[in-house]
Amino acid sequence: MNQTFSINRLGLLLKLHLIEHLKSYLLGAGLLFGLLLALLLPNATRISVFSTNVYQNHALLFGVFFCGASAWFASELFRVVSGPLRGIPYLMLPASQLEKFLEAFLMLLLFVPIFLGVFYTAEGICFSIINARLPASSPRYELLNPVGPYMDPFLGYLTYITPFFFLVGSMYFPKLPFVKTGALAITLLIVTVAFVNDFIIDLLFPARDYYGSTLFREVNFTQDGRWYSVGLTGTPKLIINSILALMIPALWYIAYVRFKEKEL
Amino acid sequence: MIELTNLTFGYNQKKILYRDLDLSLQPGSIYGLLGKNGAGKSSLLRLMGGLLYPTAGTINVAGFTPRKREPAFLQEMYFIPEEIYLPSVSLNRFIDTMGPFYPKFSESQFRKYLVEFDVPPDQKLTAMSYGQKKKVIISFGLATNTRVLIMDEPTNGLDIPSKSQFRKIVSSALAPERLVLISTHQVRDLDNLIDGIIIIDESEILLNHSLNHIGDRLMFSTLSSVTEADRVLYAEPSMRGYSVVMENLEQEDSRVDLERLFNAVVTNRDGIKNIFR
Repeated sequence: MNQTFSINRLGLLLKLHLIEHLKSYLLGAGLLFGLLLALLLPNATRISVFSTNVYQNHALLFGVFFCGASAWFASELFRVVSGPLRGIPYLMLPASQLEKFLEAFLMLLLFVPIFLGVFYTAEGICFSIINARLPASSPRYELLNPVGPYMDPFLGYLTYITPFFFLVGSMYFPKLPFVKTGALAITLLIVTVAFVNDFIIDLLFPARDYYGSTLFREVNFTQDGRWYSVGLTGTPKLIINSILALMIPALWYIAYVRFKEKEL
Repeated sequence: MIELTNLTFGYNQKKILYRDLDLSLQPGSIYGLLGKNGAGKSSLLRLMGGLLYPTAGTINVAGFTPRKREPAFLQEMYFIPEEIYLPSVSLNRFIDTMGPFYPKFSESQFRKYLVEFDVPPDQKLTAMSYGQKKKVIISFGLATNTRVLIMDEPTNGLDIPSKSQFRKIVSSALAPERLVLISTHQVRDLDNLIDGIIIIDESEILLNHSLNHIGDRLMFSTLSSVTEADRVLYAEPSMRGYSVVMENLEQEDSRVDLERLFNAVVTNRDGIKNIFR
């Protein structure tokens, strides 16, 4: 018998997980759909012209809701081992540590298409209302492309890293993992933006009027009345992108090690 | 079947719960693990289940190292914790989802135990009382037919008729290759059930012997008065004088009284140790 991985055992774990949580997942998806619709519908009843600003608003809504919902979902995934009541039966289930971890991983992956389905259903309803009112010659609204030009690159990156960060948080904080990890995330963000990123920018471009930046990747400022946008290219860009990309598997690995070492 | 060698464990560096503990438990027996509140019974069981990691020393359970939590080990070990959790599903769904994890699980055995425990078969698990849930978990644990079955305070929450039913069912489920280890602070619940007893107190295993061996070495009797010449190890006032534990010098037959034995062991450690040396 393979002690590390068996598709049969993983299947049993997934079946057990869904049987235990399906009802709460459906309720959560319903709540998400209701909230999105409540935020999108008022605009849908007002808009009567085509404007790309709508996409920008939807991209912001997509990013914020994805981060919030995935953070909540990820925080709950390892809640089962936060105490002995549910943790002991779970850890004693005849399946490997890897299989139990993969169960959480697959559930987090499953969250993505479900979120997309809910978001696009709500957006589709709104756009169908708006499109029905647009003049025949006007372009029609189409569903948002989450990796398209309207998504802010920083918010886009946050949507990738948030669920994994909160998954690690759920292993470190047995009580109130969502709140505690959220507080930690905000603190880290402030430190990164206000100290590290801005400190580097001040060093590289002293005495310029600084307007804004995408963390560690791009800086915009004015000098002598002219607008400059400076971005990384070549090897530095590759290094920064690699670090940002590697942070995701690194967070997974930390969560796995913490899970393996979990004692109750 | 269960071997602890030089086991050291503590929740932190300053407070060591066990130091260099040795313990050997054989299959085909039902062991009772007794100790005061906070003696570390649950911690010892969790170490055997791989839920806690030893600071030093080794643990071997059915040929496995528990801390690795390998599926083959977990298929041979069922652990019933003191506080139990059951998913919000029907009994049939519970069997359908949990049974396949254990290759030797027998549904007919499970249902038979439930009938003996008088648990209604068509009720949702979450709608059951705490005692009924406990009966479901105990029945399931027995029906998994794992080589090792650990129960931490299994009789908590059971009513008086259920406790005697518990003793009957557990003793019927014992097999030559199976080891059952039951921890409790309610020693009366283990009467006529266990055949081996482990008593822990103040980080030490004070006694680990079969009841037959204990009966050979100790005598449980009643005396009208206690004198020094009686070589009494422990005495407590009773209706007819004193209920005592004495050294069994004459090899007389007496029934081992678990509560008296426990009190004798924890109050007269040196006396008991000398007898079992």
